[in-house]
Amino acid sequence: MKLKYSLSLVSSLSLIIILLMYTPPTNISLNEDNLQLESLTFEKTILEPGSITIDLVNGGPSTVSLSQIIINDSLWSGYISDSEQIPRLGKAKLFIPYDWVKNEPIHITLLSSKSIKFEHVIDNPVITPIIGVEHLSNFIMLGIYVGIIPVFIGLLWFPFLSKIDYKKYNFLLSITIGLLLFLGFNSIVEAMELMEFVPLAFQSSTIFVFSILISFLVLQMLTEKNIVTSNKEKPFLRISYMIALGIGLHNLSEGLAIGSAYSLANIALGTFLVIGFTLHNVTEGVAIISPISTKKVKFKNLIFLGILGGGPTIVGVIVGGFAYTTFWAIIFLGIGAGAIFQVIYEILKSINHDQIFKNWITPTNVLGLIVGALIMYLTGLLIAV
Amino acid sequence: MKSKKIHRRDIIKILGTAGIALASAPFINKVNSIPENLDSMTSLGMKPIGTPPMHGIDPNDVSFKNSVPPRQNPGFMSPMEFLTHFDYGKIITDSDGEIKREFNLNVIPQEINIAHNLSYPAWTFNGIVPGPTLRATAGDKIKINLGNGDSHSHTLHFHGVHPADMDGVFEIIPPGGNFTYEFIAEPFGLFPYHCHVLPLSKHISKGLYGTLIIDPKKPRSKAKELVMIMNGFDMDFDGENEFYTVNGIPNYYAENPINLKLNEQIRIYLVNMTEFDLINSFHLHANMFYYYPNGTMLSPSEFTDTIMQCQGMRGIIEFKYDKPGKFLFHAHQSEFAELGWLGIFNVE
Repeated sequence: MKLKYSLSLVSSLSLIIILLMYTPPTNISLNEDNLQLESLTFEKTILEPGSITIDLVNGGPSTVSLSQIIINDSLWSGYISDSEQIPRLGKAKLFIPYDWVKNEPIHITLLSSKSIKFEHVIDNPVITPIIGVEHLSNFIMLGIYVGIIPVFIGLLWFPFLSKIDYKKYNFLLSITIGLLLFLGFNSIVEAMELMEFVPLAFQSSTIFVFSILISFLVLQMLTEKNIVTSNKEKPFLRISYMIALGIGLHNLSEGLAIGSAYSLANIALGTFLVIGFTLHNVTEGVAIISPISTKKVKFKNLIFLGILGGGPTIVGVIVGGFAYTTFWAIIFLGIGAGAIFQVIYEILKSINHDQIFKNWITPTNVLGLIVGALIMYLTGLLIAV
Repeated sequence: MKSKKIHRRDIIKILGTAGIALASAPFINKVNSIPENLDSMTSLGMKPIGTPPMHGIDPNDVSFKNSVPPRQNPGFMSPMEFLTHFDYGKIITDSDGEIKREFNLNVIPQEINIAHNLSYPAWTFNGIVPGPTLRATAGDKIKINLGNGDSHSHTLHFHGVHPADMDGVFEIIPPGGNFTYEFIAEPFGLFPYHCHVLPLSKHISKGLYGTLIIDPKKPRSKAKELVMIMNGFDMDFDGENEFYTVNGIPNYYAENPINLKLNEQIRIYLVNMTEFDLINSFHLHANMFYYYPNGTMLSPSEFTDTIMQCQGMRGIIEFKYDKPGKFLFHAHQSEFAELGWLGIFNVE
């Protein structure tokens, strides 16, 4: 035993010594002058009459030292918070007085002291709404319209769904799987689209994969330990709660996206878009109640399910509107996707009593899956931005 | 989006969750509001950055100074010194007994300051971009010793009349090598010189160019003489200039106006060595000038306020101001003007 301990001690000590003695190789051309690995991300741009404010993040391996501002081929000037030296993973706020013209593109080029250009184009500049406390009620209303109302409309199908037979019930569950799979894949695609806006140093793609994995595993662990609901007689209600949780997490990131789009004025949140989201999310309500459609549940449970599934949209819209970061949106999309996949697994288990794929692949069920995905696709057309 | 059918209770429930978001709201508001006086930006801890457009003219411009740190390298001169600096060479008696005017030019790789916190890895003649202005009189025998202190091959090619082997095209001077160019300065006029090694655009855009003035035997009338070499800097080597300047630093003469006296005769030797762009131009405000293309004739060809030159073209501009005040001069391609080719004459 002693030998084992001393061996591990020696190896640890030698590792420390090696790290302490390490000096970067100088004879190969990997010194900082030769590497032009500067990186700067335009995280957020706020347009006001006569000015542009930009939040910058340095996601590169070295400090970025800014020198010049060029706007639409003119040397320009502005003010930067703290210092023109932006350290690794550091942030800076750049305020540029500039009399921009509505709807006419603004090309912003920042030139670093190493002559690296960082470019950003605002294609269709309009005044960015300044988000203050007075916008809170707007955000809450938006969240209610997009999250709560549609989910509850979906729940209203409960009396209708409760009168169906076993085969139709299975068909309904298959539709739900289709809906959920679509949502899950949609989350992945959305997250991948967002990743290009996150500095590389934050490794958002890896974090995203782990968000899915961890969320899946944690929910699986909770299910197996029966922590989610201790009520063993009502496994179907449990599944409904799991679905509501997964959809809720998905809606949280959806809310983040809506809130930030609103605050960044990237999209015109017109009536059409709100209606689109509402219709789209009705299907989520249906998905939540389908496992319990033929069962008897207390009305109170329906309310809780609706709030769990739709409520996070409101939180998402508010957080997205006030303090959006792409990085967190990606993490929430991952958590949501993981939750959704875990729910699909749970539904498959419930249909066939733990024999996941054995008797599930019937024409009715596959058709149900296709119908579910199709419903999502068609309602999704309404919200294409 | 407004609905009146929301219960107060619902909102209160949600308010709790929104607490964190609310906490950050005052900060956002503070930064978003535009201060009425930009001076107060500095009181918010903000630091000026960039090059102000039209320095000295913009009323909003309060605290900027591009403040290009002076270069320390040997031979360096500020654009203000460069404006009136002429290298007449040294009068020597050669081994064969001939009297010659001798110039020394050395190619030196040199990191040169272009703007605040920004430098450019230039190839220079004698440490400066543009290179020194050489000056001789028509008929002079001139001798130019070129040393190559760079790790790339270079040459020296003069515009004007001279023997083929003095043209600086085929006699490539390797790193560490040298070459002596000898010819008779003729005809009188204004001539650019530049390196002629391929790729040409690289060797010129990196800074290897300058001017040779050959005065007529009967000198031109007395005047305040200024040299202005129009150029550009391609900072990131993508074949497009980021900056345009006269004599090497963007907006230098806007920040440091050139002082002229009322009714003083002014003569500008203007040369265009701008790489990558088809043309460059010169526009004088609130005045007109006489233009002598190439300086090879003694009578002007134009009386105008704007002229245009393609790369390698040059000419002499003569004017005087009879009204005091500040007058702009700049490229009349607005883009070039706003990327640094703009200056001010301060007439007193």
